[in-house]
Amino acid sequence: MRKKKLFPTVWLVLIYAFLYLPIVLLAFYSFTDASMIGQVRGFSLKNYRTLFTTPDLQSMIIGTLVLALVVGVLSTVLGTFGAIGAFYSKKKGRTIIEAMNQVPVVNADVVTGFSVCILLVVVFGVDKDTYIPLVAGQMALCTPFVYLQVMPALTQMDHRIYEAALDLYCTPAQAVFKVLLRQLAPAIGSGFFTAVTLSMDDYFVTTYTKPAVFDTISTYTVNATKGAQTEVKTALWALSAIIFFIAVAVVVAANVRGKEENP
Amino acid sequence: MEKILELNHITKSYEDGINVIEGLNLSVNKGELVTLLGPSGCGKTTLLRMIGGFDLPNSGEILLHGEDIGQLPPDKRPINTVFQKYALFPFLNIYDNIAFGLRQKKMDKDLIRQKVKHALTVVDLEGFEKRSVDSLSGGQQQRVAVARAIVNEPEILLLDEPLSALDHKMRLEMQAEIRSMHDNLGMTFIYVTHDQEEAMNLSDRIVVMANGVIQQEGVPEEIYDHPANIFVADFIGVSNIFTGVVTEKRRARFAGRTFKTNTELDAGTRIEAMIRPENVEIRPAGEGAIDAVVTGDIYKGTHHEITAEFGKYEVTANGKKKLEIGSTIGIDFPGEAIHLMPHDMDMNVFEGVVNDDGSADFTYFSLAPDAEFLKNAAAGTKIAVSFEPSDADLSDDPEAGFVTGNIDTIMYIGDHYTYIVRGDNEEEYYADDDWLWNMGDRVSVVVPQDKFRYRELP
Repeated sequence: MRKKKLFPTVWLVLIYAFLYLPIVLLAFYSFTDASMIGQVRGFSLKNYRTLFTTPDLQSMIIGTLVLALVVGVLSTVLGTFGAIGAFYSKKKGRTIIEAMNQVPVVNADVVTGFSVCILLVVVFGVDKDTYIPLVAGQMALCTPFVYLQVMPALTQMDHRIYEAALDLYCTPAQAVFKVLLRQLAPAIGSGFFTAVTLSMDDYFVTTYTKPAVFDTISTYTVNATKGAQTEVKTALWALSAIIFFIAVAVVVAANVRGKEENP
Repeated sequence: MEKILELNHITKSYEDGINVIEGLNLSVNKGELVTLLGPSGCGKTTLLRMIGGFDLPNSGEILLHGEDIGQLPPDKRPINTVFQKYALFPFLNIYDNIAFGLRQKKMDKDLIRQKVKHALTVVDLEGFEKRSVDSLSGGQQQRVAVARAIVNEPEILLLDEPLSALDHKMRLEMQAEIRSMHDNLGMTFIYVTHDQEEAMNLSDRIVVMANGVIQQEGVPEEIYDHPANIFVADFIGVSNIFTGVVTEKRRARFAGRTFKTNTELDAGTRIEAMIRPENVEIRPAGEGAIDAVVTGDIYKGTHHEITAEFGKYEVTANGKKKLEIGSTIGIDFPGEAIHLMPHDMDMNVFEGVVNDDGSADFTYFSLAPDAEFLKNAAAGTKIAVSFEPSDADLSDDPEAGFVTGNIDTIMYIGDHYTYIVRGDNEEEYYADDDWLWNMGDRVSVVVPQDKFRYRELP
């Protein structure tokens, strides 16, 4: 057997340690009643209890999830039909749409958030408490990414399957739903997950467009970690650990499914 | 014979206004296997798509059992299609793919099961129900595509180059299978292909198309032995074609000799003469009508394909034995094997109008005020100009000729090439040239001033 080279192995270990050690540390301390990282204390579920019983934290978590789902669904619908529309339009139209779609992707979130706020709240006078600026702002952030996920699947698709559906007695609407969207489903699904993740991660757009009383995990965490509210702060360790475990579970599940589909 | 499908005066043009199909008429008999054959871009696929309902004709009618279905959407037509590259639904297994159309028609589940099972038997794929599309070979996917269409028991089955993605051997096998499926099912098949061999193997009747126009229809033997024009002769099989003229009854002169023929054409008719290589007789030198020098010999398994030159002409013949390159042989064209086609006279005629300064504007080009005719014509006179292909030459200098275009068709006529040059507005120019150009080459058409012939239009 060929001897393994030492350097690449060490390099990989270092990189992964850098990526995972802080999270592992956080997860570890979330199960203690320490108030600071570094303190040696005993095992405790106190943080988890606080996390799930403090009304403020509860409503913040539920609010984040509901917002992410709403924005995810709306962005997915918009992005998918946008991609389909762009794909079947004339080449010039498609090039323009394609280029316009790139800008929000590359653009800084803070600019997107600020400009949506200006447009809706200042120019059109929409009340932030209606959640419309928030949802619209996050959709502006997420939709282009859905578009980017769906477009390659459209490009690779054999477009005769749409005509084949018409040939097999589908109306155009049935052909779109039963065949076109069904064929694009994996790409639409990953577009949806991207949108949900982006919505949950977003800080800037949310800050500029949210109602004053509403907080997402991002905005809440940024504010909470500023002050000295240690009980809530350590409860956020628990939240971080949970989010991390969910992320790991999703990645593992996706990989297992991918293996099953392409053995 | 009962007519199942009639196409009357079908015209189809796309947004840019170019006619893909112009005034086409075609009828198909019940239970027939008709092939639409032609080079790519000849309109055959567009025609098939109009029958299937994926494109609508701009004018004309498509009659199924005498009823116009020309404007109906595909799902309202009792016609199913086998698509190029199959277009199976990758997210469904084989059973669900085949059952798709029947489920759409809300058929009873047990009946669907029976029909799918039967369809799988017809295409010889029993037991493949649960397999995924990806796990099948190209040939198997092809069969599933056929099964998915025929399970609906359509009045007409359309097949759009269904074998083009298969390798040669597989293609031959599938041709035989499609033919026997057709015979067993008794269904009407309309088959599109650009492969003349495939058309020959499969068809009850072949419809040869070029430039959106039907060039000839007939049984394979008729198309092969009696092509209607040089396009068909050149497109189907290998052929020797010479330009010439009927000199007297049953005599035609071409390739520098006079030959006995079976022709009923009048003396003086300009013709193209075609002889298939297998009908050219090879004799010892001095014993044929022509002595020719062997320039090539390719062994084809069943025969040697001999090429030989005499004077400025070249001829291809099928020989039984190998011949030395450079040796001299005798060549004969038996009268009954010579097929004469009247020369197409309606080429290179353009209409236009005379300007104040004696120049003339035609639809696609202008001519300078050089000719006597133009100098004497009053401004505003409607005129037609024409020229002989033999008077035209091609040049790669765009300034040299009166119009530019791209080489669209190449026909080898004994001692020269006849080209169809397609102008930027899809118009055609016929020109003879000794040089070999390639398809798509950008050329300008050069005609000497005194070779243009003008006439006034009423």
